[in-house]
Amino acid sequence: MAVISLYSMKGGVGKTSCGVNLAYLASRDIGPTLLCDLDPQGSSSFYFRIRSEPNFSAKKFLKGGKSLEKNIKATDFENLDLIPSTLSFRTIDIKLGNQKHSRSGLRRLFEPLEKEYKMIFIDCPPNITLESENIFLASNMILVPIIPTVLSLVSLEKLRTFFDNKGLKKKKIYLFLSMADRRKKLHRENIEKIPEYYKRTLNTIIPYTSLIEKMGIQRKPVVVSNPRSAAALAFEKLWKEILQILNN
Amino acid sequence: MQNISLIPHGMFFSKKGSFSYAKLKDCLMGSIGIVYISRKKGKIRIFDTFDWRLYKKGFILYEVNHSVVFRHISSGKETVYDAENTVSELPRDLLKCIKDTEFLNTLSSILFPRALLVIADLSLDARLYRLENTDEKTIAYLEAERGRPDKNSSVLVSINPLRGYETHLKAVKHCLSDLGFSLFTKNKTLSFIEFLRLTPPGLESRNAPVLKPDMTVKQAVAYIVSEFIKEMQKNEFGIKEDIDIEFLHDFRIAVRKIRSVVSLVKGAFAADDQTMIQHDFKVIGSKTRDLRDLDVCLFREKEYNNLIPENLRTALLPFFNSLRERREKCCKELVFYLAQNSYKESIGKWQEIFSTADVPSLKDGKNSSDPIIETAVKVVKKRYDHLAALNREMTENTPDQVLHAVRIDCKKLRYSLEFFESLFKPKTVKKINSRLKILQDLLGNFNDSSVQINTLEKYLAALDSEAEDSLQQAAAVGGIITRLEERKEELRERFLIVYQDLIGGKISDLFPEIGGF
Repeated sequence: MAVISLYSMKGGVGKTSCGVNLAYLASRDIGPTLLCDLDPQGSSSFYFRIRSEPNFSAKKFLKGGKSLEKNIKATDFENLDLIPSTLSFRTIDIKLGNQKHSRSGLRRLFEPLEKEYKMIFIDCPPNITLESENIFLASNMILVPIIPTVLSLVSLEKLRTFFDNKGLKKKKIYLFLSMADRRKKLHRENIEKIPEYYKRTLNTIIPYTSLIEKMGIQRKPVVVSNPRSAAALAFEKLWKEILQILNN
Repeated sequence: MQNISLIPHGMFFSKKGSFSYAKLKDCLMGSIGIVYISRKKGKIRIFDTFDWRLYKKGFILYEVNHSVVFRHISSGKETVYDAENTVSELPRDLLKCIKDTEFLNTLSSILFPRALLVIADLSLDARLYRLENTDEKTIAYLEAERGRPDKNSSVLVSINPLRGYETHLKAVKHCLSDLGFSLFTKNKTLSFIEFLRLTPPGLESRNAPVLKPDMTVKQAVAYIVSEFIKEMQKNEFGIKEDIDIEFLHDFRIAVRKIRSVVSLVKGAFAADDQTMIQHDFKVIGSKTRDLRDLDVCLFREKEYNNLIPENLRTALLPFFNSLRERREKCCKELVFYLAQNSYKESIGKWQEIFSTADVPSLKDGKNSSDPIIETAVKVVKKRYDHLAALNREMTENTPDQVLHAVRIDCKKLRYSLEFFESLFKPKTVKKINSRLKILQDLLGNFNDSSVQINTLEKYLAALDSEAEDSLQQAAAVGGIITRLEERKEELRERFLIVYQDLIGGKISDLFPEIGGF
């Protein structure tokens, strides 16, 4: 089982849209896949039209085992399940802090799911906290969407520093360019510069397109609703690239 | 169009009548939406031996969508094999496409020595719907199925909830209940077999003809004969292909029942016609006897081996090999006989004669125009009285010949009850027949043991004492003869208990319910 987290401390960079599409492609191509929506905003859950049960909470999530398993919900797509988000997830950090193994809580939580799922995607909240550290430890791959702007590069630098300070493996971090708009000069320049600056930058560029924004209306992955669109093709290409890295 | 599956997932509901999408939608009043997705159509072929050996061992084997599926009933675990390239219709050829030797070994150990047969062909037609909540999120799939072999037009509705939505279906269950559906609560596969009305073989009489109370004796006997001629013809293919020994057995039973009904119900036809029927079917029956005796003996090969110590078992091989050789010869002879014009003309003639209700080509006997309902009661009473009269002679030392006579009398009583089952109270007849069957099985085993002892003794006598392993062979055959003699004694004791119950116990009280007692 591989755990892939979609992470950025900056919001609105395309983590959720990418996570939703990649999770669908994984379920289509390799089998049982789980998408874990840890962002209290619950956008992944919204895209799949899934609400958590009223009594589901951060406490139940972190308890794991049956408490967690009975709150996993099937999406409308074969082999793709989801742990829905709840507003209570905003307290995950505090609860992890109170745990004995505060850094590895999430990794322990996902271990029993290994039998059932071939891949787990984590849609992360935009922050850099103890929860993030847990996610980094639990993940085999940390996918960071980067909008080709200055601020995105600043946040990336902060992430690298965080990894250094905490003794985490930076090799897990992979960047990909997201919401890229080639009509903008700055984007064009950064599309060139970033791969030079950070060698684990994936080749695929996810374009800025209204179809991805419309996922909020369609409430399904763009690779399902508009499979021949440029956005869908970019996600397919990105997925193939990821799969190749994992296989190697 | 989606692929069909034998056992839909989820919960099952059923009712007589049909499923109305509109009525369910109205009942749900928008709290849960129901959206039509597609139609599923397909054919499913279920296999087992004639006595349902796989089912009894907890499995079901079927072919669907060019796949062979082996399903464990209690766990629902399935193993699927590709059967894309199968051309033949014969089940044994279907299995040739499977390369999994472990599976084939498991299967043959369960089936042995029976053959796989088609026990049902189902044409399925289902409509698939999506149930969704107010967020338009699918929470379950609903499948409404028609076209099962059940002609009382029951409809099966299965609901397969999506993970995490099992508790969101209360409204749907309530509505289905309001619409007259009831939930199956037992094991899914068993519920399904129940829904299909595929009854595993039990004590019920096979192929009992359905008579009308206003029939005359001649009409009723003619109808019974015509039904058993059809039964004979149905089994010819299985004999010719040598699929399973049960085909010959059923063929022989049909022949025997034809002779039996003509003999038990006296005066249905003129004496010379009756003699002619008896003669023709006796000839057919006699052609099958040797093969049947060999079948019975070979059927018990495994059992015989278990009767003697392991080190003597190989010494039995020459005996069974000689039987197999004789069987092959007998089988060829019978197949040749069945293909000959003399057989075809004989059976064709009787089929033609009995194809009309009043059988004008046969002269009336002295009882031809009597009502069958009255004659049926008389026949059963006579057979029962005859069997009861033998009671005086029954002791632990009753000779084999008397037991043989009791077996024949039991058979006659059972046949007469089966012939006229539709004229009597079915429950009463079933109860009596279940006890009669136990008695008959005991005596049948007793008789088989006698026949087999006879065969073994002949083999022993013909054994070449100079042959290399003659001593081991003699020891093995002698060992079996001893064990068979012991078994005969056990059967004799058990027989006396069951027989007393039939003649003087609770079962005998049931006969007056039939009438005329």
